[in-house]
Amino acid sequence: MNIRRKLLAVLALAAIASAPAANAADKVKLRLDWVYGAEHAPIFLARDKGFFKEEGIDVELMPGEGSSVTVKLVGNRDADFGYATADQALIGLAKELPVVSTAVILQKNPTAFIFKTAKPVKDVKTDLYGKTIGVQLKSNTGRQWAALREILKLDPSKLKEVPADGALVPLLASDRIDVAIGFYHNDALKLRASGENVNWIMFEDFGVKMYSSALITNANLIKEKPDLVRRFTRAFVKGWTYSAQNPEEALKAFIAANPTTDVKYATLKLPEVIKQTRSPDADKNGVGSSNVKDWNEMQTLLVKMKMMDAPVDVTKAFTNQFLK
Amino acid sequence: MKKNALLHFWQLMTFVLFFLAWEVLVRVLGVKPVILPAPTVIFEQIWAHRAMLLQNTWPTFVAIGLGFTYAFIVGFAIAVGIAFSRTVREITYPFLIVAQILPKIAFAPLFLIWFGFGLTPKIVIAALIAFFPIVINTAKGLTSVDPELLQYLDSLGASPREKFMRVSLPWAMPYIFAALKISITLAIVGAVVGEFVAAGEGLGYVINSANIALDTQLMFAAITVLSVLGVLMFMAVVAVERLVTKSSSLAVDTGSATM
Repeated sequence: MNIRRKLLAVLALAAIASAPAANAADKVKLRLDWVYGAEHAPIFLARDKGFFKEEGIDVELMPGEGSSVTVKLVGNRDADFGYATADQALIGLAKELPVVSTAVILQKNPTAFIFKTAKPVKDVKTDLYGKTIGVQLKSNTGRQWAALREILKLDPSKLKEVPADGALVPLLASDRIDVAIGFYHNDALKLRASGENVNWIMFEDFGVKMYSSALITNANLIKEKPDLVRRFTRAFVKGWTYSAQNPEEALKAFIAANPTTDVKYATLKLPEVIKQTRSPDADKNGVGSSNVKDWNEMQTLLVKMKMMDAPVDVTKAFTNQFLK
Repeated sequence: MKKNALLHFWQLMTFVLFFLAWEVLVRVLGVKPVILPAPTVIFEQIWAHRAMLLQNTWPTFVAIGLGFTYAFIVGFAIAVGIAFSRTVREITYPFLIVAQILPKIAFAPLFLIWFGFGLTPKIVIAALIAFFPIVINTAKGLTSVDPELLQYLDSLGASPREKFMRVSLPWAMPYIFAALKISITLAIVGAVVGEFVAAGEGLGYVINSANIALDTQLMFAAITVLSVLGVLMFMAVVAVERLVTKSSSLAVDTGSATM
């Protein structure tokens, strides 16, 4: 009797153990471009509202230390997916990192000259001289500035540039710098949130047009698990399209996940970031869509800016196939 | 003489074998240069950018040198002060230990705001990181003199200054130089961290901006040049130690000879 019971128990256990694992979710690592900020709110929303879970994905979010690092991690398969600026992804591809953008979320270049309205810059060809310009060496904005200097044919000897990594806001607020070069939706809005009167001039106005933050992954992952990439991209983009319709909810999700965040700043930033998801291409073909023409234009700029040595085949840099 | 040459040969061979293994590994595993460049690629980069790298070595050298010098001056002064009185020493020790443990590198981004950009924050960080070993070791050295020896000098009517210069200081030399050898390496770390955050020139700056530009080859080239600089500066401290120890042992000998 005893032996029979034991035998039954063992058989039952064996049956359970050999049964197919009940749809275990795919565990996926997503490395962002920077520390968590309101610009990531739609991603937090997608995670916490269950968009990834619906697609059978268990996503692990990780903050980043710059797009170039995220590109390296994804290229080396240390992270399954990344959120990094498209220009860094393209440079990575040129350096033989098989990085592919499956959704170009932010379609505009957010780099801008930021200044207090009390000391405005009206004509960049003349008004930058004699001013102390804070440049972030750790960001691609530094390289863009170097290129813009040449495009505008500015005289470097009349320019006073100082390194200002991670310190644009306090330095501009305390007038230690007169002009800050950064992402307008970060530094300018942070200053506005703290009560400063600032304004900005976009680099795009001078032809420095670039795709910005994109969802990237490794080409080998696409080869091995195209379905996973499709599901992930779908959930990721859904976070953005849902947030565009329900920005309040996205903001709430972000604040809930990051309780110590500056709420005023986040409230100012999120609508601006969502605005940047729009473009003629994205409006027509959906958020995240990108095209060969615009990628090539960005590449030409990068080569001109000496951020890339030689052009590559941009069709290898992105795909829209997972957006359908 | 021959033994020395053989020793140096094998010391050199460890480096050669290390680079060889690295080169082979990178090639065999097909590691992309942007992830880890092979030594041959790095040396090629150093040569190709030699002018720029040399140009950026100077500001880093200045930052390390000045940071180290300030660390020594301030560290030594504090050590002499606390060596004077056992009470002062016991009261200040916990504070010094805590200050030593505080990770100054974590303050580096703040230094940009407090001290501005350029040479000053580099020197401040380098000096802050480098000076505690000097304080602790110098104080230890000065206070570990054989008390009988000091009593003997007392009995001969020696002034405090004579006791310090003739006995305490020479006695403390090994301790001081042990600390200096540690401090020079810390000063290098501090100066480079300063360049990461608060400067537009120097080898640390080159390393950082090459990293951002995904130019790993250049980054390693700069790291290699920095390593060579560091080794040379360390060797300079060792050379000074040899010089000073020789002359100070002469002084002690003379002292005991006339007693």
